Amino acid sequence: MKSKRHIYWLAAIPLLAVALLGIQIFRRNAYRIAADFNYPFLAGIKSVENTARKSAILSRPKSELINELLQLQQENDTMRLKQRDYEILASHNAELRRLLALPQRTGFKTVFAELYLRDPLFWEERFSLNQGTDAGIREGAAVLCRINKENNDETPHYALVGKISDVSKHTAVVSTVNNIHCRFGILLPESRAPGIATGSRKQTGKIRGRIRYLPRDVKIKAGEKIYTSGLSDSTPPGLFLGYIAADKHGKPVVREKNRLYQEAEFVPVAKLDAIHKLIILVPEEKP
Amino acid sequence: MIANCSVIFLLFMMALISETISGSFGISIPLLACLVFYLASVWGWQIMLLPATVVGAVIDLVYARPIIVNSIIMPMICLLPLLQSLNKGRTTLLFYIMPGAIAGIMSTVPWLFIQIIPGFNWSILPSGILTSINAAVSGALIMPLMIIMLDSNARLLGMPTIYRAQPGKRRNTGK
Repeated sequence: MKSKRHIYWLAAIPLLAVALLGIQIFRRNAYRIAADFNYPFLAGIKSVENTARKSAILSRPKSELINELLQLQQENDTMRLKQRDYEILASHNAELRRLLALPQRTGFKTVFAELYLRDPLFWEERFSLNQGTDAGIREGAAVLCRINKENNDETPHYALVGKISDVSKHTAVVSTVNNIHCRFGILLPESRAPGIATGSRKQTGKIRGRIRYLPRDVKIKAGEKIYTSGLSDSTPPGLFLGYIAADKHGKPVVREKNRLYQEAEFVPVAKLDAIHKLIILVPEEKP
Repeated sequence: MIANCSVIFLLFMMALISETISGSFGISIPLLACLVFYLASVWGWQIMLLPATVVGAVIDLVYARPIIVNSIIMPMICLLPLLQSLNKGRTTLLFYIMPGAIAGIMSTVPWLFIQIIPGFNWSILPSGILTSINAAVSGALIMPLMIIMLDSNARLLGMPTIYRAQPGKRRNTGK
């Protein structure tokens, strides 16, 4: 009897190891099942939180809410007029591309989502959203958040947060710009230097990313703005990422990597602690 | 049998949801680890080995973590009730502070190493230690409270309680 039990345990251990390995291999599929199974429970609690947030807004004075609404309507009208201009520009661009026999650019559709789950152990590297493939989200799509405008008006309203790394029917996981596995093709418009931005880890309490493959002969300035280059099909160009980091003397944090390239550190502009609502830019299907 | 399994499943689901919600607010409370310890103490570690492995995988999958480590950590937590046998079975409520703290540490320290090892990034060590201390303290506080709550429920449902558990035995009937 005792020897039978030993055989049972000896058989159970390799089976457990195989099961673990299987989960690891099919992690993405297993994630989809687990995330969708837990979604109704977590979303239910999130809806209670949202109801409380809405109640807090409704508790504000009506006059204040009306003023905000009117202001938003004005902003909306201005945006519509600007959008019309951009649509004309886009049609001109498409016509030029057609004449030059260049491939047409695909557009991006926007999906709005809310942050609904966060891992305390990977707080600034990864979080989950309450929208998934049902809303049209795909892996690799860029994720943006609203930022507070600084004193200069040239600062964009939105900043790049990261990209979608896993997606299930109802949820999507965002790998943030602080995640070492998250990479973006970037451009420094002032010094006209291309590079690849990768996430980095916290260094002495500050979050610093790294820009690799910057041409060595380009002089980079501290505080220079960083935008996406748009070389990848999944990320549109011109998304604001952050600034080139400065050391205590105000000089850019740059290291020469080899005879061809240099590396620079950057400060991501998205405040990941305070985000709640996000915008996902999903590339439209090619015709 | 089915009733017991349903209660265990419900407890796991409640702990999983509570842990993920508290985690979303940045509070790392090792509720699942404490629950695994409690159930392993009550039902025997052999029985809880498989459910602990599954629930460990589920929490990592829900958080979309890059590696599924908890399905190794949770079965290890199942072995913690054997500490009771070191104490010759004389256990008080305060005794459970220690396994609670150990469960908290066990559920956070491997992640600290996983973050440090690629690139030997020692700069995250202070914040990682703080997270582990936070998990240990919350585990130490949660464990006695969880025992009080779950034992009182178990008495109402006529299920075995932790005080009648015999460490190292396959199953405690509670009778």
